Amino acid sequence: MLSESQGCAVLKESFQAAGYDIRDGYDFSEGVIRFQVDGFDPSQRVGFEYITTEAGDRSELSQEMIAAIEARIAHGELFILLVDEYDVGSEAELRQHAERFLSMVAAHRQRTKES
Amino acid sequence: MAFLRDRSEYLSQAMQTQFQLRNTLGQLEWQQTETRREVSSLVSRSETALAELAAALLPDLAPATVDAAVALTGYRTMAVRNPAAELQQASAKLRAQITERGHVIEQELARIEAEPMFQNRLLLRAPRTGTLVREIRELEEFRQPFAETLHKCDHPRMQRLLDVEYGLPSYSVPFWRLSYYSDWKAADEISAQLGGNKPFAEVRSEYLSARDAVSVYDTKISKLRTEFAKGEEVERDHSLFTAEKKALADGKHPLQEQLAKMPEQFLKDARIQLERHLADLDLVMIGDRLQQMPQLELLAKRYYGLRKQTEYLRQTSAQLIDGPKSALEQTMSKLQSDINKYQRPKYAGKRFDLAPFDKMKERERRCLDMMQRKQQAQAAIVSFHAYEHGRLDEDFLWWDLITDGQVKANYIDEVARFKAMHPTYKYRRPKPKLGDETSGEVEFIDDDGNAAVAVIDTIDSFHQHHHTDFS
Repeated sequence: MLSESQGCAVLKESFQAAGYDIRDGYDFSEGVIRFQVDGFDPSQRVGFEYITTEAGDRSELSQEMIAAIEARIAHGELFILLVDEYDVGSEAELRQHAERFLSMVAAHRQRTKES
Repeated sequence: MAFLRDRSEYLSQAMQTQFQLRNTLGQLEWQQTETRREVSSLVSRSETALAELAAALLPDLAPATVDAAVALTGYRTMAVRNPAAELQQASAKLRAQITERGHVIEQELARIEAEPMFQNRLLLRAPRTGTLVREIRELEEFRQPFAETLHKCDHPRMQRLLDVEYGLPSYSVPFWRLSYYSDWKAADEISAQLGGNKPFAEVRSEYLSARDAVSVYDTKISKLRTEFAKGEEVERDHSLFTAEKKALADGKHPLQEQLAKMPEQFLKDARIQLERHLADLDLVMIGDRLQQMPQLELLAKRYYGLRKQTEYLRQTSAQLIDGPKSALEQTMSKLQSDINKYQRPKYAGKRFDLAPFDKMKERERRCLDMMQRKQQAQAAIVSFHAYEHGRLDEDFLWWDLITDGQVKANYIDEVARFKAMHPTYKYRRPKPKLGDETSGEVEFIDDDGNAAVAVIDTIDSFHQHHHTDFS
Protein backbone atom coordinates (compact mmCIF):
# COMPACT_ATOMS: atom_id res chain seq x y z
CA MET A 1 0.00 0.00 0.00
CA LEU A 2 1.34 3.40 -0.96
CA SER A 3 1.20 6.42 1.37
CA GLU A 4 -0.53 9.69 0.42
CA SER A 5 2.73 11.32 -0.64
CA GLN A 6 4.03 8.23 -2.54
CA GLY A 7 0.73 7.78 -4.41
CA CYS A 8 0.43 11.47 -5.29
CA ALA A 9 4.04 11.61 -6.52
CA VAL A 10 3.52 8.65 -8.90
CA LEU A 11 0.27 10.11 -10.26
CA LYS A 12 1.68 13.62 -10.69
CA GLU A 13 4.66 12.25 -12.57
CA SER A 14 2.40 10.25 -14.93
CA PHE A 15 0.06 13.18 -15.54
CA GLN A 16 2.95 15.61 -16.14
CA ALA A 17 4.53 13.11 -18.53
CA ALA A 18 1.28 13.23 -20.52
CA GLY A 19 1.62 17.02 -20.76
CA TYR A 20 -0.68 18.19 -18.02
CA ASP A 21 0.16 21.18 -15.85
CA ILE A 22 -0.65 19.67 -12.49
CA ARG A 23 -1.17 21.89 -9.45
CA ASP A 24 -0.92 20.32 -6.03
CA GLY A 25 -3.85 20.63 -3.62
CA TYR A 26 -6.05 22.51 -6.02
CA ASP A 27 -9.22 23.94 -4.42
CA PHE A 28 -11.99 22.72 -6.68
CA SER A 29 -15.33 24.42 -6.16
CA GLU A 30 -18.14 24.03 -8.69
CA GLY A 31 -21.72 23.68 -7.54
CA VAL A 32 -21.98 20.95 -4.92
CA ILE A 33 -18.47 19.69 -5.68
CA ARG A 34 -16.14 21.39 -3.22
CA PHE A 35 -12.90 19.67 -2.23
CA GLN A 36 -9.17 20.00 -2.49
CA VAL A 37 -7.98 17.85 -5.44
CA ASP A 38 -4.55 16.23 -4.88
CA GLY A 39 -3.48 17.15 -8.43
CA PHE A 40 -5.44 19.10 -11.07
CA ASP A 41 -4.82 20.91 -14.36
CA PRO A 42 -7.54 23.66 -14.30
CA SER A 43 -7.13 24.53 -17.97
CA GLN A 44 -7.48 20.91 -19.20
CA ARG A 45 -9.80 20.02 -16.33
CA VAL A 46 -7.91 16.80 -15.75
CA GLY A 47 -6.57 15.60 -12.39
CA PHE A 48 -6.36 12.90 -9.78
CA GLU A 49 -7.38 12.24 -6.21
CA TYR A 50 -5.48 9.62 -4.21
CA ILE A 51 -7.85 8.73 -1.39
CA THR A 52 -6.15 7.86 1.90
CA THR A 53 -7.22 7.69 5.51
CA GLU A 54 -3.99 9.47 6.44
CA ALA A 55 -5.06 12.64 4.52
CA GLY A 56 -8.62 12.55 5.87
CA ASP A 57 -10.02 12.08 2.35
CA ARG A 58 -12.67 9.61 3.45
CA SER A 59 -14.52 12.25 5.46
CA GLU A 60 -14.00 15.00 2.88
CA LEU A 61 -15.22 12.88 -0.07
CA SER A 62 -18.67 11.54 0.72
CA GLN A 63 -20.39 8.96 -1.47
CA GLU A 64 -22.73 11.73 -2.65
CA MET A 65 -19.84 13.92 -3.74
CA ILE A 66 -18.15 11.04 -5.55
CA ALA A 67 -21.44 10.38 -7.36
CA ALA A 68 -21.63 14.05 -8.37
CA ILE A 69 -18.01 13.97 -9.65
CA GLU A 70 -18.74 10.79 -11.64
CA ALA A 71 -21.82 12.42 -13.16
CA ARG A 72 -19.70 15.37 -14.35
CA ILE A 73 -17.06 13.00 -15.78
CA ALA A 74 -19.78 11.02 -17.56
CA HIS A 75 -20.83 14.24 -19.28
CA GLY A 76 -17.23 14.92 -20.32
CA GLU A 77 -17.04 18.11 -18.25
CA LEU A 78 -13.95 17.06 -16.31
CA PHE A 79 -11.77 13.99 -15.76
CA ILE A 80 -10.53 13.04 -12.30
CA LEU A 81 -8.99 9.66 -11.56
CA LEU A 82 -10.18 8.57 -8.13
CA VAL A 83 -7.84 6.01 -6.59
CA ASP A 84 -8.38 4.40 -3.18
CA GLU A 85 -5.12 3.48 -1.45
CA TYR A 86 -6.53 0.00 -0.68
CA ASP A 87 -7.02 -0.77 -4.41
CA VAL A 88 -3.39 -0.35 -5.43
CA GLY A 89 -0.56 -2.72 -4.56
CA SER A 90 2.51 -1.06 -6.04
CA GLU A 91 3.88 2.06 -7.75
CA ALA A 92 4.12 0.22 -11.07
CA GLU A 93 0.50 -0.80 -10.93
CA LEU A 94 -0.60 2.74 -10.06
CA ARG A 95 1.53 4.15 -12.86
CA GLN A 96 0.03 1.71 -15.37
CA HIS A 97 -3.52 2.59 -14.24
CA ALA A 98 -2.73 6.32 -14.55
CA GLU A 99 -1.27 5.94 -18.03
CA ARG A 100 -4.26 3.90 -19.20
CA PHE A 101 -6.63 6.49 -17.72
CA LEU A 102 -4.87 9.30 -19.52
CA SER A 103 -5.02 7.40 -22.82
CA MET A 104 -8.75 6.83 -22.25
CA VAL A 105 -9.20 10.59 -21.59
CA ALA A 106 -7.33 11.42 -24.79
CA ALA A 107 -9.42 8.94 -26.79
CA HIS A 108 -12.62 10.31 -25.27
CA ARG A 109 -11.70 13.91 -26.15
CA GLN A 110 -10.74 12.84 -29.66
CA ARG A 111 -14.13 11.17 -30.15
CA THR A 112 -15.88 14.29 -28.77
CA LYS A 113 -13.93 16.54 -31.12
CA GLU A 114 -14.72 14.33 -34.13
CA SER A 115 -18.38 14.21 -33.36
CA MET B 1 5.84 -28.11 97.75
CA ALA B 2 7.47 -27.88 94.32
CA PHE B 3 10.86 -26.25 93.92
CA LEU B 4 10.50 -23.42 91.37
CA ARG B 5 13.11 -22.61 88.69
CA ASP B 6 13.81 -19.54 86.61
CA ARG B 7 12.73 -19.16 82.99
CA SER B 8 16.00 -20.08 81.29
CA GLU B 9 16.16 -23.39 83.13
CA TYR B 10 12.50 -24.07 82.27
CA LEU B 11 13.04 -23.35 78.56
CA SER B 12 16.20 -25.42 78.45
CA GLN B 13 14.36 -28.35 80.04
CA ALA B 14 11.38 -27.85 77.69
CA MET B 15 13.55 -27.90 74.57
CA GLN B 16 15.44 -30.95 75.70
CA THR B 17 12.17 -32.77 76.37
CA GLN B 18 10.84 -31.65 73.04
CA PHE B 19 13.91 -33.07 71.32
CA GLN B 20 13.43 -36.43 73.02
CA LEU B 21 9.71 -36.52 72.22
CA ARG B 22 10.38 -35.67 68.59
CA ASN B 23 12.82 -38.52 68.39
CA THR B 24 10.28 -40.95 69.87
CA LEU B 25 7.61 -39.64 67.54
CA GLY B 26 9.89 -40.36 64.59
CA GLN B 27 10.31 -43.94 65.79
CA LEU B 28 6.55 -44.33 66.14
CA GLU B 29 6.04 -43.06 62.61
CA TRP B 30 8.59 -45.51 61.29
CA GLN B 31 6.81 -48.30 63.17
CA GLN B 32 3.51 -47.26 61.64
CA THR B 33 4.97 -47.42 58.15
CA GLU B 34 6.53 -50.78 58.80
CA THR B 35 3.25 -52.19 60.10
CA ARG B 36 1.35 -50.89 57.07
CA ARG B 37 3.82 -52.71 54.84
CA GLU B 38 3.41 -55.95 56.81
CA VAL B 39 -0.39 -55.64 56.79
CA SER B 40 -0.33 -55.13 53.06
CA SER B 41 1.81 -58.24 52.64
CA LEU B 42 -0.56 -60.28 54.84
CA VAL B 43 -3.59 -59.04 52.89
CA SER B 44 -1.92 -60.10 49.68
CA ARG B 45 -1.07 -63.56 51.10
CA SER B 46 -4.59 -63.92 52.40
CA GLU B 47 -6.06 -63.09 48.97
CA THR B 48 -3.86 -65.75 47.42
CA ALA B 49 -4.89 -68.25 50.11
CA LEU B 50 -8.55 -67.43 49.46
CA ALA B 51 -8.12 -67.94 45.72
CA GLU B 52 -6.41 -71.28 46.35
CA LEU B 53 -9.17 -72.34 48.73
CA ALA B 54 -11.86 -71.44 46.18
CA ALA B 55 -9.94 -73.28 43.46
CA ALA B 56 -9.69 -76.37 45.66
CA LEU B 57 -13.38 -76.20 46.53
CA LEU B 58 -14.31 -75.77 42.87
CA PRO B 59 -11.71 -77.59 40.75
CA ASP B 60 -14.16 -77.77 37.83
CA LEU B 61 -17.77 -77.08 36.95
CA ALA B 62 -19.00 -80.66 36.94
CA PRO B 63 -22.48 -80.74 38.54
CA ALA B 64 -21.24 -83.00 41.33
CA THR B 65 -18.36 -80.61 42.09
CA VAL B 66 -20.69 -77.61 42.21
CA ASP B 67 -23.12 -79.49 44.47
CA ALA B 68 -20.30 -80.48 46.80
CA ALA B 69 -19.03 -76.88 46.99
CA VAL B 70 -22.51 -75.60 47.76
CA ALA B 71 -23.05 -78.25 50.40
CA LEU B 72 -19.74 -77.48 52.05
CA THR B 73 -19.80 -73.70 51.97
CA GLY B 74 -23.55 -73.11 52.18
CA TYR B 75 -23.34 -70.79 49.18
CA ARG B 76 -26.97 -71.14 48.12
CA THR B 77 -26.74 -68.60 45.32
CA MET B 78 -24.50 -70.99 43.44
CA ALA B 79 -27.15 -73.68 43.74
CA VAL B 80 -29.84 -71.35 42.38
CA ARG B 81 -27.68 -69.91 39.61
CA ASN B 82 -25.69 -73.02 38.97
CA PRO B 83 -22.59 -72.11 36.92
CA ALA B 84 -22.52 -75.59 35.38
CA ALA B 85 -26.05 -75.13 34.04
CA GLU B 86 -25.32 -71.57 32.95
CA LEU B 87 -22.21 -72.73 31.13
CA GLN B 88 -24.24 -75.38 29.35
CA GLN B 89 -26.86 -72.81 28.28
CA ALA B 90 -24.30 -70.23 27.18
CA SER B 91 -22.32 -72.85 25.25
CA ALA B 92 -25.45 -74.05 23.46
CA LYS B 93 -26.36 -70.47 22.57
CA LEU B 94 -22.88 -69.75 21.22
CA ARG B 95 -22.85 -72.99 19.24
CA ALA B 96 -26.15 -71.95 17.64
CA GLN B 97 -24.61 -68.56 16.81
CA ILE B 98 -21.65 -70.28 15.16
CA THR B 99 -23.94 -72.46 13.07
CA GLU B 100 -26.02 -69.43 12.10
CA ARG B 101 -22.89 -67.50 11.18
CA GLY B 102 -21.86 -70.37 8.90
CA HIS B 103 -25.20 -70.12 7.10
CA VAL B 104 -24.93 -66.35 6.73
CA ILE B 105 -21.45 -66.68 5.25
CA GLU B 106 -22.65 -69.24 2.72
CA GLN B 107 -25.59 -67.04 1.72
CA GLU B 108 -23.44 -63.94 1.36
CA LEU B 109 -20.83 -65.74 -0.72
CA ALA B 110 -23.55 -67.11 -3.02
CA ARG B 111 -25.10 -63.64 -3.37
CA ILE B 112 -21.77 -61.98 -4.20
CA GLU B 113 -20.73 -64.69 -6.63
CA ALA B 114 -24.00 -64.19 -8.53
CA GLU B 115 -23.34 -60.47 -9.04
CA PRO B 116 -22.05 -59.50 -12.53
CA MET B 117 -19.70 -56.94 -11.01
CA PHE B 118 -18.00 -59.83 -9.17
CA GLN B 119 -18.23 -62.36 -11.98
CA ASN B 120 -16.68 -59.88 -14.46
CA ARG B 121 -14.17 -58.51 -11.98
CA LEU B 122 -11.14 -59.15 -14.17
CA LEU B 123 -12.82 -57.95 -17.32
CA LEU B 124 -13.88 -54.73 -15.59
CA ARG B 125 -11.13 -53.96 -13.13
CA ALA B 126 -7.94 -55.76 -14.12
CA PRO B 127 -5.06 -53.26 -13.88
CA ARG B 128 -4.32 -51.67 -17.30
CA THR B 129 -6.65 -54.01 -19.28
CA GLY B 130 -9.98 -53.78 -17.42
CA THR B 131 -12.68 -51.96 -19.37
CA LEU B 132 -13.44 -49.64 -16.49
CA VAL B 133 -9.75 -48.91 -16.02
CA ARG B 134 -9.32 -48.11 -19.70
CA GLU B 135 -12.44 -45.96 -19.91
CA ILE B 136 -11.37 -43.90 -16.94
CA ARG B 137 -7.89 -43.47 -18.38
CA GLU B 138 -9.26 -42.37 -21.75
CA LEU B 139 -11.65 -39.88 -20.22
CA GLU B 140 -8.82 -38.48 -18.12
CA GLU B 141 -6.73 -38.05 -21.24
CA PHE B 142 -9.60 -36.23 -23.00
CA ARG B 143 -10.15 -34.05 -19.98
CA GLN B 144 -6.49 -33.08 -19.66
CA PRO B 145 -6.25 -30.18 -22.25
CA PHE B 146 -9.43 -28.57 -20.95
CA ALA B 147 -8.20 -28.83 -17.39
CA GLU B 148 -4.96 -27.22 -18.54
CA THR B 149 -6.87 -24.26 -20.03
CA LEU B 150 -8.71 -23.81 -16.74
CA HIS B 151 -5.43 -23.99 -14.90
CA LYS B 152 -3.91 -21.30 -17.13
CA CYS B 153 -6.91 -19.03 -16.56
CA ASP B 154 -6.58 -19.46 -12.83
CA HIS B 155 -6.58 -15.87 -11.55
CA PRO B 156 -8.13 -14.26 -8.44
CA ARG B 157 -10.11 -11.87 -10.70
CA MET B 158 -11.23 -14.41 -13.31
CA GLN B 159 -14.67 -15.02 -11.88
CA ARG B 160 -15.26 -11.25 -11.60
CA LEU B 161 -14.27 -10.76 -15.25
CA LEU B 162 -16.84 -13.40 -16.22
CA ASP B 163 -19.48 -11.84 -13.97
CA VAL B 164 -19.04 -8.27 -15.32
CA GLU B 165 -18.79 -9.67 -18.87
CA TYR B 166 -15.39 -8.17 -19.48
CA GLY B 167 -14.44 -8.25 -23.17
CA LEU B 168 -18.06 -8.21 -24.30
CA PRO B 169 -19.96 -5.14 -25.53
CA SER B 170 -22.10 -5.41 -22.44
CA TYR B 171 -19.13 -4.61 -20.14
CA SER B 172 -20.27 -1.42 -18.43
CA VAL B 173 -17.63 -0.36 -15.90
CA PRO B 174 -16.75 3.31 -16.69
CA PHE B 175 -13.13 4.17 -17.39
CA TRP B 176 -12.80 6.65 -14.53
CA ARG B 177 -13.27 3.93 -11.97
CA LEU B 178 -10.16 2.13 -10.79
CA SER B 179 -11.84 -1.32 -11.15
CA TYR B 180 -11.88 -0.65 -14.91
CA TYR B 181 -8.08 -0.68 -14.86
CA SER B 182 -7.87 -3.59 -12.44
CA ASP B 183 -10.11 -5.61 -14.79
CA TRP B 184 -7.95 -4.56 -17.70
CA LYS B 185 -4.75 -5.60 -15.91
CA ALA B 186 -6.20 -8.97 -14.85
CA ALA B 187 -7.43 -9.67 -18.40
CA ASP B 188 -3.95 -8.91 -19.74
CA GLU B 189 -2.36 -11.29 -17.24
CA ILE B 190 -4.79 -14.12 -18.03
CA SER B 191 -4.26 -13.69 -21.80
CA ALA B 192 -0.51 -13.81 -21.23
CA GLN B 193 -0.88 -17.01 -19.18
CA LEU B 194 -2.74 -18.56 -22.11
CA GLY B 195 0.24 -17.72 -24.28
CA GLY B 196 -1.00 -15.14 -26.74
CA ASN B 197 -2.59 -11.78 -27.23
CA LYS B 198 -6.07 -13.05 -27.79
CA PRO B 199 -8.91 -10.63 -27.19
CA PHE B 200 -10.47 -11.40 -23.86
CA ALA B 201 -13.77 -12.30 -25.55
CA GLU B 202 -11.95 -15.29 -27.07
CA VAL B 203 -10.28 -16.14 -23.79
CA ARG B 204 -13.66 -16.03 -22.13
CA SER B 205 -15.24 -18.31 -24.72
CA GLU B 206 -12.34 -20.77 -24.52
CA TYR B 207 -12.51 -20.78 -20.74
CA LEU B 208 -16.26 -21.39 -20.61
CA SER B 209 -16.03 -24.24 -23.15
CA ALA B 210 -13.21 -25.83 -21.17
CA ARG B 211 -15.17 -25.46 -17.95
CA ASP B 212 -18.20 -27.18 -19.47
CA ALA B 213 -16.08 -29.95 -20.93
CA VAL B 214 -14.26 -30.58 -17.64
CA SER B 215 -17.61 -30.70 -15.85
CA VAL B 216 -18.94 -33.30 -18.30
CA TYR B 217 -15.80 -35.43 -18.07
CA ASP B 218 -15.74 -35.18 -14.27
CA THR B 219 -19.30 -36.47 -14.07
CA LYS B 220 -18.49 -39.41 -16.34
CA ILE B 221 -15.22 -40.21 -14.56
CA SER B 222 -16.86 -39.95 -11.16
CA LYS B 223 -19.59 -42.38 -12.21
CA LEU B 224 -17.01 -44.88 -13.48
CA ARG B 225 -14.91 -44.53 -10.35
CA THR B 226 -17.95 -45.15 -8.15
CA GLU B 227 -18.67 -48.29 -10.16
CA PHE B 228 -15.03 -49.33 -9.80
CA ALA B 229 -15.05 -48.72 -6.03
CA LYS B 230 -18.29 -50.65 -5.62
CA GLY B 231 -16.74 -53.59 -7.44
CA GLU B 232 -13.67 -53.44 -5.25
CA GLU B 233 -15.86 -53.41 -2.16
CA VAL B 234 -17.70 -56.51 -3.36
CA GLU B 235 -14.39 -58.27 -3.96
CA ARG B 236 -13.20 -57.23 -0.50
CA ASP B 237 -16.39 -58.58 1.09
CA HIS B 238 -15.92 -61.82 -0.81
CA SER B 239 -12.37 -62.16 0.49
CA LEU B 240 -13.50 -61.48 4.06
CA PHE B 241 -16.32 -64.02 3.90
CA THR B 242 -14.00 -66.58 2.34
CA ALA B 243 -11.44 -66.04 5.09
CA GLU B 244 -14.15 -66.34 7.74
CA LYS B 245 -15.43 -69.55 6.15
CA LYS B 246 -11.92 -71.00 6.25
CA ALA B 247 -11.52 -69.98 9.89
CA LEU B 248 -14.76 -71.78 10.71
CA ALA B 249 -13.59 -74.88 8.86
CA ASP B 250 -10.25 -74.78 10.70
CA GLY B 251 -11.93 -74.18 14.06
CA LYS B 252 -10.15 -70.81 14.41
CA HIS B 253 -13.15 -68.48 14.16
CA PRO B 254 -13.33 -65.93 17.04
CA LEU B 255 -16.69 -67.34 18.11
CA GLN B 256 -15.18 -70.84 18.25
CA GLU B 257 -12.26 -69.52 20.28
CA GLN B 258 -14.73 -67.85 22.60
CA LEU B 259 -16.57 -71.16 22.96
CA ALA B 260 -13.34 -72.95 23.76
CA LYS B 261 -12.51 -70.45 26.48
CA MET B 262 -15.98 -70.46 27.95
CA PRO B 263 -15.56 -73.28 30.54
CA GLU B 264 -12.38 -71.67 31.81
CA GLN B 265 -14.05 -68.25 32.00
CA PHE B 266 -17.16 -69.58 33.74
CA LEU B 267 -15.00 -71.49 36.22
CA LYS B 268 -13.01 -68.36 36.91
CA ASP B 269 -16.16 -66.30 37.46
CA ALA B 270 -17.69 -68.98 39.70
CA ARG B 271 -14.54 -69.09 41.80
CA ILE B 272 -14.58 -65.32 42.18
CA GLN B 273 -18.18 -65.50 43.40
CA LEU B 274 -17.25 -68.26 45.79
CA GLU B 275 -14.29 -66.21 47.04
CA ARG B 276 -16.65 -63.32 47.81
CA HIS B 277 -18.90 -65.65 49.73
CA LEU B 278 -15.99 -67.14 51.68
CA ALA B 279 -14.58 -63.70 52.44
CA ASP B 280 -17.87 -62.75 54.10
CA LEU B 281 -18.21 -66.08 55.83
CA ASP B 282 -16.92 -66.98 59.29
CA LEU B 283 -15.18 -70.25 58.42
CA VAL B 284 -15.84 -71.47 61.93
CA MET B 285 -19.46 -71.97 60.80
CA ILE B 286 -18.36 -74.68 58.38
CA GLY B 287 -15.44 -75.95 60.45
CA ASP B 288 -17.15 -79.29 61.23
CA ARG B 289 -17.78 -79.97 57.57
CA LEU B 290 -14.26 -79.00 56.57
CA GLN B 291 -12.85 -81.39 59.16
CA GLN B 292 -14.08 -84.25 56.98
CA MET B 293 -11.76 -83.10 54.19
CA PRO B 294 -8.26 -82.56 55.57
CA GLN B 295 -6.79 -81.06 52.39
CA LEU B 296 -9.51 -78.44 52.16
CA GLU B 297 -9.42 -77.86 55.88
CA LEU B 298 -5.73 -77.07 55.74
CA LEU B 299 -6.29 -74.48 52.97
CA ALA B 300 -9.20 -73.01 54.94
CA LYS B 301 -7.05 -72.82 58.07
CA ARG B 302 -4.33 -71.07 56.14
CA TYR B 303 -6.77 -68.48 54.82
CA TYR B 304 -8.44 -68.09 58.21
CA GLY B 305 -5.08 -67.82 59.98
CA LEU B 306 -3.89 -65.15 57.57
CA ARG B 307 -7.10 -63.21 58.14
CA LYS B 308 -6.49 -63.45 61.85
CA GLN B 309 -2.86 -62.37 61.47
CA THR B 310 -3.98 -59.32 59.48
CA GLU B 311 -6.65 -58.42 62.00
CA TYR B 312 -4.34 -58.90 65.00
CA LEU B 313 -1.58 -56.83 63.45
CA ARG B 314 -3.98 -54.00 62.63
CA GLN B 315 -5.37 -53.94 66.16
CA THR B 316 -1.92 -54.20 67.69
CA SER B 317 -0.73 -51.23 65.69
CA ALA B 318 -3.86 -49.23 66.46
CA GLN B 319 -3.54 -49.85 70.20
CA LEU B 320 0.21 -49.75 70.72
CA ILE B 321 1.28 -47.24 68.07
CA ASP B 322 -1.54 -45.09 66.70
CA GLY B 323 -3.03 -44.19 70.12
CA PRO B 324 0.26 -43.34 71.86
CA LYS B 325 1.46 -41.46 68.81
CA SER B 326 -1.61 -39.25 68.82
CA ALA B 327 -1.18 -38.55 72.56
CA LEU B 328 2.48 -37.76 72.06
CA GLU B 329 1.66 -35.36 69.22
CA GLN B 330 -0.73 -33.50 71.51
CA THR B 331 1.94 -33.27 74.19
CA MET B 332 4.43 -31.97 71.63
CA SER B 333 1.97 -29.37 70.42
CA LYS B 334 1.24 -28.16 73.94
CA LEU B 335 4.95 -28.05 74.75
CA GLN B 336 5.68 -26.00 71.64
CA SER B 337 2.96 -23.49 72.45
CA ASP B 338 4.31 -23.19 76.04
CA ILE B 339 7.82 -22.58 74.70
CA ASN B 340 6.50 -19.87 72.37
CA LYS B 341 4.51 -18.33 75.17
CA TYR B 342 7.21 -18.25 77.85
CA GLN B 343 9.86 -16.87 75.54
CA ARG B 344 8.05 -13.53 75.59
CA PRO B 345 9.74 -10.78 77.66
CA LYS B 346 6.82 -10.40 80.04
CA TYR B 347 7.55 -13.89 81.46
CA ALA B 348 11.23 -13.11 82.10
CA GLY B 349 10.78 -13.09 85.86
CA LYS B 350 8.31 -15.97 86.11
CA ARG B 351 9.24 -19.03 88.18
CA PHE B 352 8.41 -22.51 86.89
CA ASP B 353 7.62 -25.90 88.30
CA LEU B 354 9.57 -28.60 86.35
CA ALA B 355 7.47 -31.51 87.59
CA PRO B 356 5.40 -31.69 84.34
CA PHE B 357 8.55 -32.68 82.44
CA ASP B 358 8.85 -35.78 84.60
CA LYS B 359 5.31 -36.71 83.58
CA MET B 360 6.17 -36.16 79.94
CA LYS B 361 9.23 -38.35 80.23
CA GLU B 362 7.12 -40.99 81.91
CA ARG B 363 4.63 -40.81 79.02
CA GLU B 364 7.47 -41.13 76.55
CA ARG B 365 8.86 -44.13 78.42
CA ARG B 366 5.44 -45.80 78.23
CA CYS B 367 5.39 -45.10 74.48
CA LEU B 368 8.75 -46.79 74.09
CA ASP B 369 7.50 -49.76 76.11
CA MET B 370 4.44 -50.08 73.91
CA MET B 371 6.57 -49.79 70.81
CA GLN B 372 8.68 -52.65 72.07
CA ARG B 373 5.59 -54.74 72.80
CA LYS B 374 4.27 -54.00 69.34
CA GLN B 375 7.53 -55.06 67.73
CA GLN B 376 7.48 -58.27 69.71
CA ALA B 377 3.84 -58.97 68.76
CA GLN B 378 4.45 -58.06 65.13
CA ALA B 379 7.46 -60.35 64.89
CA ALA B 380 5.38 -63.22 66.27
CA ILE B 381 2.38 -62.49 64.04
CA VAL B 382 4.36 -62.11 60.84
CA SER B 383 6.55 -65.17 61.35
CA PHE B 384 3.65 -67.53 62.00
CA HIS B 385 3.14 -70.27 59.42
CA ALA B 386 1.91 -73.29 61.37
CA TYR B 387 -1.67 -73.09 60.17
CA GLU B 388 -2.16 -76.83 60.42
CA HIS B 389 -2.20 -76.51 64.22
CA GLY B 390 -5.17 -74.14 64.19
CA ARG B 391 -8.76 -75.15 64.61
CA LEU B 392 -11.86 -73.82 62.95
CA ASP B 393 -14.13 -73.76 65.95
CA GLU B 394 -15.37 -71.15 68.34
CA ASP B 395 -13.31 -72.34 71.25
CA PHE B 396 -9.93 -71.88 69.73
CA LEU B 397 -7.88 -68.77 70.30
CA TRP B 398 -5.72 -68.21 67.22
CA TRP B 399 -3.85 -65.41 68.96
CA ASP B 400 -2.17 -67.85 71.31
CA LEU B 401 -1.32 -70.23 68.50
CA ILE B 402 0.09 -67.43 66.38
CA THR B 403 2.17 -65.95 69.21
CA ASP B 404 2.92 -69.32 70.82
CA GLY B 405 1.17 -67.97 73.92
CA GLN B 406 4.04 -65.65 74.64
CA VAL B 407 2.51 -62.26 73.96
CA LYS B 408 -0.07 -60.60 76.18
CA ALA B 409 -2.79 -58.89 74.20
CA ASN B 410 -5.83 -57.97 76.26
CA TYR B 411 -6.00 -54.85 74.11
CA ILE B 412 -7.33 -57.09 71.31
CA ASP B 413 -11.09 -57.42 71.75
CA GLU B 414 -11.20 -61.06 70.73
CA VAL B 415 -8.48 -62.04 73.19
CA ALA B 416 -10.00 -60.07 76.06
CA ARG B 417 -13.45 -61.51 75.40
CA PHE B 418 -12.11 -65.02 75.15
CA LYS B 419 -10.26 -64.74 78.40
CA ALA B 420 -13.23 -63.24 80.16
CA MET B 421 -15.37 -66.14 79.03
CA HIS B 422 -12.76 -68.75 79.89
CA PRO B 423 -11.05 -67.59 83.09
CA THR B 424 -9.26 -70.86 83.76
CA TYR B 425 -7.91 -71.24 80.30
CA LYS B 426 -4.33 -72.37 79.71
CA TYR B 427 -2.42 -72.32 76.46
CA ARG B 428 -0.86 -75.60 75.51
CA ARG B 429 1.63 -75.80 72.69
CA PRO B 430 0.55 -78.09 69.85
CA LYS B 431 1.87 -81.65 69.90
CA PRO B 432 5.38 -81.79 68.49
CA LYS B 433 5.95 -83.15 65.04
CA LEU B 434 8.48 -85.84 64.58
CA GLY B 435 11.92 -84.25 64.78
CA ASP B 436 10.67 -80.90 66.03
CA GLU B 437 12.35 -80.57 69.38
CA THR B 438 11.23 -77.08 70.15
CA SER B 439 7.56 -78.03 70.44
CA GLY B 440 6.20 -79.69 73.52
CA GLU B 441 3.52 -79.81 76.07
CA VAL B 442 4.57 -76.54 77.60
CA GLU B 443 2.09 -74.37 79.38
CA PHE B 444 2.37 -70.60 79.44
CA ILE B 445 0.63 -68.60 82.06
CA ASP B 446 -0.36 -65.08 81.21
CA ASP B 447 1.44 -62.77 83.60
CA ASP B 448 -1.39 -60.25 83.72
CA GLY B 449 -3.51 -62.75 85.61
CA ASN B 450 -5.43 -64.48 82.84
CA ALA B 451 -4.27 -67.79 81.57
CA ALA B 452 -3.27 -67.82 77.93
CA VAL B 453 -5.60 -70.10 76.18
CA ALA B 454 -5.45 -72.51 73.30
CA VAL B 455 -7.22 -75.50 74.69
CA ILE B 456 -10.19 -74.89 76.83
CA ASP B 457 -10.43 -76.49 80.17
CA THR B 458 -13.42 -78.75 80.49
CA ILE B 459 -14.72 -76.94 83.49
CA ASP B 460 -15.05 -73.72 81.55
CA SER B 461 -18.62 -72.61 81.95
CA PHE B 462 -19.00 -71.67 78.31
CA HIS B 463 -18.14 -75.16 77.21
CA GLN B 464 -20.30 -76.71 79.79
CA HIS B 465 -23.21 -75.16 78.01
CA HIS B 466 -22.17 -74.95 74.38
CA HIS B 467 -19.31 -77.22 73.43
CA THR B 468 -17.88 -80.60 74.18
CA ASP B 469 -15.06 -81.07 71.71
CA PHE B 470 -11.86 -79.90 73.41
CA SER B 471 -9.40 -82.14 71.73
